Amino acid sequence: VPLAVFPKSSARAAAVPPSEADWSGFYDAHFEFVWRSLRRLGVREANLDDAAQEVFLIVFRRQDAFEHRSSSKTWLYGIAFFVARRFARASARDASAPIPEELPDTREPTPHEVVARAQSVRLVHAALDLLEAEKRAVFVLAELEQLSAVEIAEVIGAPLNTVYSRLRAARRDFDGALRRIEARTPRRSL
Amino acid sequence: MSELSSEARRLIAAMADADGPPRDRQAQVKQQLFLRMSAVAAGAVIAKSAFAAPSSALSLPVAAKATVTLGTLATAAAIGGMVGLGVVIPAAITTSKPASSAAIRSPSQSTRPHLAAKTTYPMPSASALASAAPRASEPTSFVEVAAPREEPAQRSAVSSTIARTAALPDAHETSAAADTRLAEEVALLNAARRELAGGHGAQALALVERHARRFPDGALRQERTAAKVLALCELGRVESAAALARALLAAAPESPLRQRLEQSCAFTLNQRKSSGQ
Repeated sequence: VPLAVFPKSSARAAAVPPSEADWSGFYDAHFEFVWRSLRRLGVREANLDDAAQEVFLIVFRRQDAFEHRSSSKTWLYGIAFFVARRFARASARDASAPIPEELPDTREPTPHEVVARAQSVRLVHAALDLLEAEKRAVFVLAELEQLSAVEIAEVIGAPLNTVYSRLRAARRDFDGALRRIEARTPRRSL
Repeated sequence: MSELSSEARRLIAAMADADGPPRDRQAQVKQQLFLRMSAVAAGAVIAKSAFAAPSSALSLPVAAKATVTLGTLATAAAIGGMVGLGVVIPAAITTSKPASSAAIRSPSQSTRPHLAAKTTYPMPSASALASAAPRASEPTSFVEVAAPREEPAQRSAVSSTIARTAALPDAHETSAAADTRLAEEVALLNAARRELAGGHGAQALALVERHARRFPDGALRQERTAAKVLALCELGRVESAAALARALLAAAPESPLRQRLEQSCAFTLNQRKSSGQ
């Protein structure tokens, strides 16, 4: 999804604020991405709507930055990261806690893949929940969102070396979490 | 760097982007968001004590410098500066569905507009909204005015999502319904405000009275009264305007609308009266 919403044409003079349709279009183009990112970063289901609103409020409030940086993918990630941190769980989920069954599989059921996909969503999110918040963020941005280490460093405001070391640790923890979860989960058809 | 296990990679790949929002969430959150944005804008306008802002009707006055109160919709703040103060509620909020509690769980849900994630709908222009308003007569008309036409082919897809989307907590539904109602109120009074800005007192008055009929106990009844004062001023009915303004300010002396009223014809007359002129 391209992030650039506003044409950078000279026709849009600096004095002309983005129109309502611009805002609306930006929202429509990015809501799903924002919501999903927040969820992946650990915002609770009950808080996702509020957190998503907050992301857009920040985006829209910083109108100047909005217009100049709306093409920057990392910028939006950065805001989502900032908001997610405020909403994030106080601590990572207890490793012995049951896998949350309430995680909805939120997509249209397309016959064969549905079960497997829903199962994947549950497992991945359950494993993410077992990561420490900082590792989780790096892991999500790298493995789920496919950001480069340099981009991640920009988003989370940490040195590149820190990103690498956190990612290394996060991968290890994620694998370990998956093993623990699957060890005590009756394997469903995948 | 240590690599992720193949099992983990497989799972992540299998998950794809299936952990996105439920389909109806985009519209719901949008409505709430834009109400909150209008609240922010209203607060900023009041703080600057601006008035009679020009009707750049389609520019959403996002208050760049306003301090945002992030919480539940602050109704009072949202409406405080609305009438005549240039706060524009984006027409986009009217694209959301009618969200009464009953509707959310009822079978008729299958006929609700299908909001595909990648779909954008044309937003009604302010003028379209304003011109549509006086004609609308059904309780959900504002919603319907802007609701996208649902393709019949989409219905089956929509209905298959119902079971899952019905899992919203009750509190969410209630606030969504309240937000929808408030959005309709706001839309009506904004339409009135635009008529006022255009110097169309009669049309503004009609919209105000329409609001009074539909939302006699509406959350925006004070704003309605204030808008009526301004409409009466526009029509030259100064005595009526003054009486109404007196009544409003007597009932709500701390109203954030006071300043706006004090700048209207009503206050000028009242002032002359009280000073014995």
